[in-house]
Amino acid sequence: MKRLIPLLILSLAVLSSCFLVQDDYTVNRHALIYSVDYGNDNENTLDNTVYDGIDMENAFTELGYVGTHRQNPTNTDILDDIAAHALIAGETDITLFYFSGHGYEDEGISYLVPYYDGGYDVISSQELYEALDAVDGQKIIILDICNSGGFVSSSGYDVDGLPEDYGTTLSPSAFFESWTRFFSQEDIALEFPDIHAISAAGRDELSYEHDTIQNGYYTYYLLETLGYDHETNTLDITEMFADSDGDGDVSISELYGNTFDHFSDHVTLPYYSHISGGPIDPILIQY
Amino acid sequence: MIFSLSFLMVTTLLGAAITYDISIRPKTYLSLDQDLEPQYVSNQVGIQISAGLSAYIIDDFLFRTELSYSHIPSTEMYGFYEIRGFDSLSLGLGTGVTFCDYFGVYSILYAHYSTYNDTSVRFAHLELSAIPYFLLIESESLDILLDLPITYDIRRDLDHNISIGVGIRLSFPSGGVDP
Repeated sequence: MKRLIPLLILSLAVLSSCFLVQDDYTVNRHALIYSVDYGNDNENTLDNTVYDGIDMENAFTELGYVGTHRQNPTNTDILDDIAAHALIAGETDITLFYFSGHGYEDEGISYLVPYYDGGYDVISSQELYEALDAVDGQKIIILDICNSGGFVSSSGYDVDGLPEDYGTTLSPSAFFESWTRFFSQEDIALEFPDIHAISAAGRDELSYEHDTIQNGYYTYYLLETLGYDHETNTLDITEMFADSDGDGDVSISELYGNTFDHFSDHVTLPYYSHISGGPIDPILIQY
Repeated sequence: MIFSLSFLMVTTLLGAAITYDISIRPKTYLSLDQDLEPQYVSNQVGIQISAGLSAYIIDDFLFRTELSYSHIPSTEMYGFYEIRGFDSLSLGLGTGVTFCDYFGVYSILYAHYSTYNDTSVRFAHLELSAIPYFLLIESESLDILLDLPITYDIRRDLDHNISIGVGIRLSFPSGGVDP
């Protein structure tokens, strides 16, 4: 036994030497929040999306984000906002892009639907990613729209284990797809590694709102996960349960995971939120 | 699982001495990736729990299979992000040699199927381990061994991943020729 003690000490020394020094960084947080109700006399009118935008603006302003909530933006408004924001965002900044409104999927491509005045004027997932790619730093997309899973489908070497179409939460095909990607000779790394997305629903699923909660279901429970009080429309940080490890930092994985559980505890409608993959997990909130 | 059962059947038919074991291995998990900005090195301290069986077929040479569960937590925050941790279920297959009554080494290749923490995003990866081991306590029904695994984890999402651990293994002999 005595001869093993030096080996044990050596091993512990190697272990302890691996704790690394980290530097401090200045992180500015920006929010681009959009909600669309499509007008009052339209068959596509949504009654609660504007409340989604207002509540998200309230919550994220209290969490230190600086930005705007624009109601009923057009396609051009959104893309111009992103282009203008690209001029000020820094490499260590976090930019939140939130949209509540309609979405749809056509031939495997998901679209979000801004305000329009005659005819559709939509933004595809590729267009949104390309626009946000011009913004420095980490970009986080949260979408409370139907078919939004198409905005998180490109995940490089990993595979979304949740099906896109109301399936069960275990997908055997994800196992085989994971190994196929591992052994792939192609470079299939994320095209936009700095863009991370959370969707309310799968690519082939609808998401819902309800007048009784005056929100989209997903946004409502996401806000509660952050400690948002829907009665007072204020954020109470002591009620937040998004921070799984209690370290004062909420990554998007923590927000996603805790919102997923909270949503599933209260909503029986069969749609599942999705999140993009990759090893980087941006810190959405520090408190 | 099917592979492990097949392994058990074949080695039993060959009359090999078989030991079953369970082990727990805390480990530090170091990742290096030049594409990560601003910090390209990260560190996580995780744990691996394994159930394995070793078959001593030819003198001091052993074949080994393991079923493992690993938990690697997320890193601490590096500026504005963390590196995601993950949970893994793994099947390992390896071979080894005992040099004397108290010391041996085996190498094992793990096929991991992992899920990033807090998500349903899954990925596959392979890990090659070299595990020197030392017999600490020996009795008729139980051996206690010290494992010192050094591993290289081959992932497609991060360039280089090395881990070093210290583990305790409880080994239960199960008939056959005493190794």
